[in-house]
Amino acid sequence: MTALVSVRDLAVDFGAAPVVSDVSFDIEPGQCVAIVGESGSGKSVTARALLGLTGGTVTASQLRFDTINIADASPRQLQRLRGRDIGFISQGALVALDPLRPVAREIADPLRLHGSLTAAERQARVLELLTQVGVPNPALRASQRPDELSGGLRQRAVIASAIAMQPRLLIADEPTTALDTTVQAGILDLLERLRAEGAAILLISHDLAVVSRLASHLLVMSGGRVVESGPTEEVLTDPQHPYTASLIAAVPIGRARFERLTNRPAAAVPVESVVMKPHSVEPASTEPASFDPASFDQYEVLSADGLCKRYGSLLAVDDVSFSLHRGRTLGIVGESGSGKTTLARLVLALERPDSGDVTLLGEPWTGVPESARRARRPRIGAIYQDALSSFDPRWSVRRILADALGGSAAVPALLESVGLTPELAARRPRYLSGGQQQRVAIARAIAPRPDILVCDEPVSSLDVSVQAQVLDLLDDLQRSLGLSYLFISHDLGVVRHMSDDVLVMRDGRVVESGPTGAVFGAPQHDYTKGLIAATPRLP
Amino acid sequence: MAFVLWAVATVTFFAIRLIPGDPAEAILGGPGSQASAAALAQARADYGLDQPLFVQYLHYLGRMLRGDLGTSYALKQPVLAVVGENLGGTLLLAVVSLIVAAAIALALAAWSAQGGRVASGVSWLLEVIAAAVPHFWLAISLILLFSTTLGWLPPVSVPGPIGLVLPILTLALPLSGFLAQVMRESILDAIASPFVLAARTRGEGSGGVFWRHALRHAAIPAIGLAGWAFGSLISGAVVVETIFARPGLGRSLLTAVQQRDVPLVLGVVLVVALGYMLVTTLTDLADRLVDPRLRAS
Amino acid sequence: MKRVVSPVVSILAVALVAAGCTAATAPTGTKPVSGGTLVYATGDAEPTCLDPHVGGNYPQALIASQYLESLVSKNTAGEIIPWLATKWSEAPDGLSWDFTLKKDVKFTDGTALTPETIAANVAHVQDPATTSSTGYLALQKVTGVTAPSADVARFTLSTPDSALLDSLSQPWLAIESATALKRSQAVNCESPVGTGPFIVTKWTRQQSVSLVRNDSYSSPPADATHSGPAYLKAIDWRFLPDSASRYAALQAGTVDVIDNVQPDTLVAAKGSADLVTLDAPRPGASNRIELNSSIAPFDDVRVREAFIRSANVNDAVTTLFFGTAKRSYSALSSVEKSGISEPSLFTYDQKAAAKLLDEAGWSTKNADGYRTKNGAVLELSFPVSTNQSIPAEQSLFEQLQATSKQAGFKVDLKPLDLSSWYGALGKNLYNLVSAPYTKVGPDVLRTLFDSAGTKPAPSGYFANHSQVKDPALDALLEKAATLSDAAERLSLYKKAQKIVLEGFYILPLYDQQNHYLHRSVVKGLRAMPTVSTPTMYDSWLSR
Repeated sequence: MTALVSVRDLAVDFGAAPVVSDVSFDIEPGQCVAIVGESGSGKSVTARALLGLTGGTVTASQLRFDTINIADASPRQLQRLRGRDIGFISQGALVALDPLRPVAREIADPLRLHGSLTAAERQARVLELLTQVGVPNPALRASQRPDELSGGLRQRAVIASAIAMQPRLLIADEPTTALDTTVQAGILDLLERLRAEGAAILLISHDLAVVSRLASHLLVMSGGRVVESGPTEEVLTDPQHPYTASLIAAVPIGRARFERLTNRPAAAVPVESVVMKPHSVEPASTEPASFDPASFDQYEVLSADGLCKRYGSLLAVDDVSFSLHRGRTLGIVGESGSGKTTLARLVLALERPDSGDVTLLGEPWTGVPESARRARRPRIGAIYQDALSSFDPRWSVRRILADALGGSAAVPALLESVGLTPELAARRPRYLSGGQQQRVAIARAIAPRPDILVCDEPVSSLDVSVQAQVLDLLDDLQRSLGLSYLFISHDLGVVRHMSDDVLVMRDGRVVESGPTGAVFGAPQHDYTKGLIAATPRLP
Repeated sequence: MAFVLWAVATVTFFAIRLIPGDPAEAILGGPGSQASAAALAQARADYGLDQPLFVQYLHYLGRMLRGDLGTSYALKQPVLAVVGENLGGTLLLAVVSLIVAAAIALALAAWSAQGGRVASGVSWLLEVIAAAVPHFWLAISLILLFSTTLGWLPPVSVPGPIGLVLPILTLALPLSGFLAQVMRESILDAIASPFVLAARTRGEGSGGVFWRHALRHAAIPAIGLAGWAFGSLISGAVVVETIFARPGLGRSLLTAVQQRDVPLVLGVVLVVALGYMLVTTLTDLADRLVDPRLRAS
Repeated sequence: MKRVVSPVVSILAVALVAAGCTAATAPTGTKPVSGGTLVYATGDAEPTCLDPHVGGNYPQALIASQYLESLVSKNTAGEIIPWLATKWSEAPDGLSWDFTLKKDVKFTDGTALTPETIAANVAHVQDPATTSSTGYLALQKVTGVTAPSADVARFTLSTPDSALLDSLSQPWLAIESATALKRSQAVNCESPVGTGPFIVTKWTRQQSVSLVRNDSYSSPPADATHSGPAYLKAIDWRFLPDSASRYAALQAGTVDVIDNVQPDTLVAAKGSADLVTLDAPRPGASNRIELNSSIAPFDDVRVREAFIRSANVNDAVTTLFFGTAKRSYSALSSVEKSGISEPSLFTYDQKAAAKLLDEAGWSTKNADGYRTKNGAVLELSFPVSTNQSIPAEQSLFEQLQATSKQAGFKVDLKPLDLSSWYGALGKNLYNLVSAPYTKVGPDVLRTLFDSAGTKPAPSGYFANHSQVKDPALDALLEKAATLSDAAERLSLYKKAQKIVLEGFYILPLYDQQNHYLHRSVVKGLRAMPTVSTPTMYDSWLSR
């Protein structure tokens, strides 16, 4: 059977250095081929080359879709291909759908451009497609705009518009990133169904677990080149290339607590060498006088009791209680809308709970005026998913850290303690990579020598190997400084790897809690079971 | 809205008293009128100018609330009537010029957004020139070109639409320069955005991308500028109405200020302020129409 | 000597009336055709009232000349000729004048012209509620009007007034229907009712005034070229304030006649075969710069002469007016027959200026080149009205500023809007000023140079800007104002002018420029020798 898609020696450049070179692969009808790599590996550009939408210069000895040679095709031919024979599914975030148009229009576009249906017929088909992709209440959803739909529904709408003309090839570029686990599972099911119905799929992703669920063949790209390719199970169980091996090693799923995900040596950062602002508050009398790891477990640094928070008619947090001890990590896992972010804000005393209280280091934290809290604020810090937005864009890294330290003398040492070179101090955060930005955020957070760090989705937008580095760093800092973490994430694999104890949240309530091994090894609640089942795994 | 009107009326009332010139003289035919003492005294009494300024202000406010904007000193007619007669002319100029300017701006922005570096540079230059050219110079130049040299268009206002062409061009061209700059930026932004890429993957061509996607996004900042554009058109109308001898509020205002015709100045300023507020409201509504995301809030 | 209508003129008048519609001086070749609408575009300000009794300025005179008529008119020779009055006589004691009214003259509202009408008009002008300024001043010596017989109106005066005839020839004392005058001023302002060849039908503010032919017209002035109704069917009187677009409209054929033509436009129009110039200097004073003799430094006649000698006017006029303006050395307009001209007093002579200044004590110069005396700089304040001085004239002032600087004068030119300009004058904050004054007859000298002219009106305005207070001059002017004998009057006025010119109180520049430009299809257009306004009565369109 001749391949539907045949690519040989594909190279793309944007004037300067080539972005993609020497890429070759085939896709058979009904087959799912995945290209895996991190940001900058050239995987998205490769995918777009099949549509003639790279925006750069494309050369290839063969770039064939069915009988059409894409490299030589006229703009009209390409336009006919796009949407009719090849469907493109991109990340369904707000950006892939025109925020000013109702989704029905976006979905109907391929029908209008390539088909000859009347408006009424098109509307009927749109509803059909929405049902096919599993959108409940399609009549209502069709008339809504993207910002009125949840992330999962948006993604399904994007898929609907891609499959409208029943294309023979579907290119899915990061189709499930930033989606909740169960939602992700649903999308993957849908894609699997489409493949079973005969569509060929080219799947682009950085998530090895997702790829392993769907693709039969796998290409690993790095720096614009294919470093390894072959059947998925083979590549993932027996990687030949060191890069592939490191990628697989970086995935935290199924990895033990404190097991290193990267092969950098454990940064045993001694306490004295990490220069931080001294405490401005006398430690409470029950606190151990020194950081003795053996005595850590006994000291409760943070506890919550019956926290409730309501926003209008929505009960965001409903009777949540937990306890966190020094040097330990409490993971909080849940999907969007589960209340984990609200909980984080309550813990940081950025919101007032409607009932319940939080106790920090033995003293009441909520229910007292801010003036009473101010002195203790340095002892609880936070890092977030989007580190860049948390910086003043005009400040250099040095200024950011000096502001947290109270002086710029210790900035180089602080940078080193989070694994960054001191030269980065002069740059503005925009010019750092995602991983570097998060490290700077961590440095800023630990500068005032906190006892507790609230980590709200700290690695969700990072590439897998960068994620591994940051997780390793967090581990190192925890062991050296005796930090306690409240680790919030929707990614079960990450939470399981990082946490000693875990809370599973749903709709504001804790449905299950306990030590990580117990909760994930033998889940009691159906919801927890469902979450675990939906999580893709490596073979 | 009422507050803004009150503020405008108050500021203008006191501001115009600061200009040198005796209002009583203005009533009696203008400065240097050689009016007799008796006539001046009579005029002052008739118009309440012999009372303390604050009392005059209160009378003025009271009349305004009843819808009476007073009587023009120079024209001896009710200000409301004068404004009513002239409003139509100026509104016609302003509205049509705004539409023409938007059309020119759109054409210019669209052409330059698609045309590559050369088109971009040329249209940028045209935009800057159009925005920098003063109205009076443009008016005279257009007259010299289209009327005196080519003989295509009448140099001054004549009945019928043909008399509107040059005045509207004079007002629309500079405005279109500003609008084109703004629209081009948002068209370029829109074209580079991910949802346009997604549209292309569905098979949308350049034309479709422009009309279905980029245009609406480009309209948003342009609508935002409409309020400012209205103000600029009104001030341009003063020059255009004078040069092309069209009746209108701009010309009335100019003459009124020169003659120290206080009630007419106040009346015109109030009407312009009211118009400005209406335009702002309409702009808000138009914004909501174009950008449905604003409807929720 | 009694002033009677010369027999020649009266015979001519009868002959003209008897001759019917044929024009005495027909344009070469073609005969006048009846019909057509003439479009006149004026650059003067739009009047606030079409009745020239109210206020009284030149824009009103321009348009009122088409629909209102006065008791007498003037011909190009400077003689007073009959109009609504056929003959007139002064009483021996000079305290009354009898005017015989033309018979069977009807106003356009059907009422007849009677002595009572004249009385009503005079009362209207003198009524403070009318707020007349020009007309009011002209009738200051008139105490009332009586009707000794059915067609004679008798003016009674408080003192003899030799300027009465001149005053009555002006449009600001035109005769309106007494019935119409009884209406409210607002209504009368919109549609004054007169005896003229045209009737006001509609006034669209800021746009135009529509005039139609008066088909029962029967009272042309004695110097008209035909009698009976006008040729033109209608006049469209348009207000076009911008001079460039006004000229463009004329070239395009959208308008037929324009006024306020600038020097550069006149030169440009010379090359055009379609356009004809009509030059009609306004009567009254010449365009002159007045030197304020009431305050330093011009309280010293030597300094005044020095300034005048140091100002190179001729070169400036030549370069800035392109030969369209002729230099004047007179205090009066060139159309005023009693004017005298003294070029020798106004020669450009920097050496003489320097000598005079030295003599006057301004012998030292400061670092900038300006003369000083006792620490004070020789500084002159010159407020310029941008409404009344055309751009060419403003440039002329700048050139004079430059040449007088050579002599050491520091001239501060201050362009001001009209209201502020009047304010500066009223407060005596000027050393130099150029203010036009239009009036028929040599009595304008009294307005401008009699010491009574320095007393401000309640509005602060006064006309004697040079602030001349010379008792000898006063005596001459006041006597001339009462004399009946023309020759005596003439010699007194000539003596008065000599005093003014030799006192170096003014620097004459040129006549009050008043140019009209019309398309060659317009025939028979002439300016009335009274105040030089155009009259369309004899005009016709040859298209």
